[in-house]
Parts: sequence; C-alpha cells; structure tokens
Amino acid sequence: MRRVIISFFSIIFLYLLQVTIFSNLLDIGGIAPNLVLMFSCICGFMRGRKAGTLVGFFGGLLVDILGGGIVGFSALVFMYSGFFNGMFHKEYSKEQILLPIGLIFLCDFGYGFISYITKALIYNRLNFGFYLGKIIIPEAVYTVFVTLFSYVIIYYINRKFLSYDKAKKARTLVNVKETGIAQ
Amino acid sequence: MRKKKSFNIPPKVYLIIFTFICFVFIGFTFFTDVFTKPLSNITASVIIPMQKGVNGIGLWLSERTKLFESVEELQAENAELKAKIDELSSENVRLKSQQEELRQLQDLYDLDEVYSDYAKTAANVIGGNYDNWYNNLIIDKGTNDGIKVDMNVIADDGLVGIVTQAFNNYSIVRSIIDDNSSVSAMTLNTSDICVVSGDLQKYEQGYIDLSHISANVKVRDGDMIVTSNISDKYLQGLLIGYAKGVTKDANDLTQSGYIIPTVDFQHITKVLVILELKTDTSGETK
Repeated sequence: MRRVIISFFSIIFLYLLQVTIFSNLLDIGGIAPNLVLMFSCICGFMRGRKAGTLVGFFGGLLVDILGGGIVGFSALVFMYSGFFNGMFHKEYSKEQILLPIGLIFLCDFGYGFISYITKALIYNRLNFGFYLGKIIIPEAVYTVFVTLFSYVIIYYINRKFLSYDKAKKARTLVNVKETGIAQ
Repeated sequence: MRKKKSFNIPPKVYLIIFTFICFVFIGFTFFTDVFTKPLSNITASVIIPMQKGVNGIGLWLSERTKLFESVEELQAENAELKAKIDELSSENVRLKSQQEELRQLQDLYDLDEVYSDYAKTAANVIGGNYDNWYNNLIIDKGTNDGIKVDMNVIADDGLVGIVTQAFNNYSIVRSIIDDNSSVSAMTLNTSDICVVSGDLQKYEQGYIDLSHISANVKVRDGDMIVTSNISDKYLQGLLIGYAKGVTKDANDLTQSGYIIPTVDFQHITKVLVILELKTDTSGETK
C-alpha cells in the first residue's frame, strides 16, 4: 500500500517537474526529457512487469488527460514500456545500471518514433531526418542523462521500502509461528 | 494474506485489460469528450493548484539566476533604455495627438469597433506541454473565468494563439508556431489575404511560414501581417509579425515567404485572453 502511495505521488511530482521546470527552465534547445516514461521504465525494471504496467498506464493517463492530446496514447506507450522493462526484472541488481539506461533509451526512442507517426507524419511532414535529429534523439539522450541521477535516488527509495516489506513479512511469519505454537 | 493471494492477477492480464481501456479512450477522443472532460476537470482541480506552486518556484529560481547577470550589462542596458524612453515619450506625444484626431474622425464616421476595446483577461502561463511535439501553453484561467474554446490569446504586442481546450480551472492554448497551426491573415496596408502556418523546422531559424499570397501582390520585407477579416476564429487586425523574403512560388500563381513573429514564444509568462469570440461579434451586429 505504501508503495502505491509513493508511486502515485512520484508520478504527480515528476509530471509537475516536467511541465513547469523542465519544459521552461532546464530545457536544452527547447527539448525536455520524458520523466514519466523514465519512471515507468525504472519501476518496471526494479519491481517487475506488474508495477511497470500500472505505473506506465496511470502516468500516461495523467499526461494525456491534462495535456489535451489523444487520451490513451501516452498511456498505451508508457504502459508497454513499463511492461517491456519488467521483463528484465531478473537482471536487476545494484551494479546493473547500463541495462536500464539502454532500455530507457530504447523506450524513449520508440515513443519518439510513434509520436512522429501520429503527430507529424499524418500532417504530411515527411522529413523524418529533421524530427529525428531535433526531437527524438535529443529527448532520448536528455532522458538518459536525467536517468543517471534519478536512478540512484529511486534505487534507494525502492530499497528502503523493499527492506521494510521484508521486515514486515518476517514479522508476520514469526507471528504465525508463535500463534501456531500457542495453539 | 490469503485474501491477497486470491487477487493475484498475472501482469499479462493487466496489460491486456489496460490496453483495451486505452483503445476505448483513444476511440472516444476522436468523437466526443464527454468521458474525458469530467476526468480532466477532476484531475485538474487537484493538479493545477500544485502546478501553480511549482511554477512559482521555477519563476523565482529563474529570477534568482538573472540577478547574477553582470552589473555592467545592466548599466549599459539602462543607458540604452533611458535613450529609448526619450525617444518613445516624444513619439508618444505625437501619437496622442494623432489618436485624438483618429477618435474625432471615428466619431465622424460612427466607427464604434475599435480593436483595443475588446474585453480581455490576463492569465499566467503555468506550464508548457508535456512532450516536445506540440507548442502549447497551459494558462491558469478556465471556463470558471469565462474562457471558451476559440478565444484569441495575445501577449503584449502580438497574437500568441487560440484556446483549443477549456477546462474548469485551466485551458490549453495552441500557439501559432505549433506544427498544426494555421491562421488566415492579411497584409496590413493592402489587405491582401494570406495564410500563416506554424512549422517546427522553420521556427528553428525564428520564422514561421507565410503562404498563399496571390502573385500580383507586392509584399516587402517588414510589412505588417495581421489576422484577416475573413477568418472565422481570429478577430480582425491582431498583429502576427513582419513579412520577410516573399518570393514567387514555382507555380507562378502564388507567393510565399516567412514571418518574423512579434511575440517571443520562449519567454511568455503572462498572456491576455480576448473574451470575445469572432462568431459572437458577427452574430451581435445589428
């Protein structure tokens, strides 16, 4: 339950950070990173397919609902990114940072590519090279750059709650045993 | 514990269920906003106040960083601005007299439609778009403040865009530099119709597109381009920008060029929304 609440507030926090500070102050050449996509990818990688799917869906939905685009589009892409990252949950360890970074780059690139098709190509903008060099690649690189910092923070938050959960589980196990003995 | 186990749904089922929900949403967005609009309003009532706060922090931070700009730079600017004040105040006197003359003439001709008289409301820009594909602005006024879809938005000296979606406490403004934006415009001095359309690629160089000017019209660099009288959404006579490099197209029938927009789209913090719809004004005229 605590994890759900933490994830919920993290999504809102990252969304707010994205639309206010990152898109106006910290943008590089008009390009902002994709924080919610990054978060759903990291969640998927750290906690498995289910968490990735849920975080991706609700994060994407928030982006869609407030952004005024096609509702459901980002939710779909973010969700599949989270699920895709969740498939690599087995590889998750503290030292492993290259893999999530590679996965996030891949997912953001995929998001950019699909966005190009749905937001530019259907309006007859055929010069893919321009959009690739101006939006898709810079966004992916910037997102990876931000991941380097945020991955560590999310890792420690996650570990704290993981140990909390383990302690809780151990406590309940002990309780079960004790009551078993008492009976 | 046991209760939790019985609810253990495999991740793939989640994926399938949510994929289905997404497609339902996508399908509905194309036809109606009956389902998404209440959802937006509820979410926004929580998020937008927070967003205002975070945006305030951002603005404060940017002001802090600006403080560190060198003093010399500011002094130079100060001297320059003082010179400008002299220049402008003399111009102001001249304009005032002209304004008076204009007013008298307008009285004579019984022209009651003066564009500066539109009712406006000021709004703060509280965020950009989430992703990099659109050039939208999020403003902190919504239907509660009387904002409706298709209202024109201006910043101090020119057209910014148009309200595309209005919710209870915020609205989304599509700026004229957006890839999908297109405005019916005309040259101020000759009233020749043209089309101004946003283009991400051209905006890199600081321009937006100007096209569909008929071949026999002469447009010089620096000609003012304003919104046209035939547009059904934009009010007439709002300044868009200055024409540049207008040349004949390959088909020999039309001309096209660029516009240098008057508004600095990178640094908009406040905008004015004109609380009048073009359709309203045409409906009300006697």
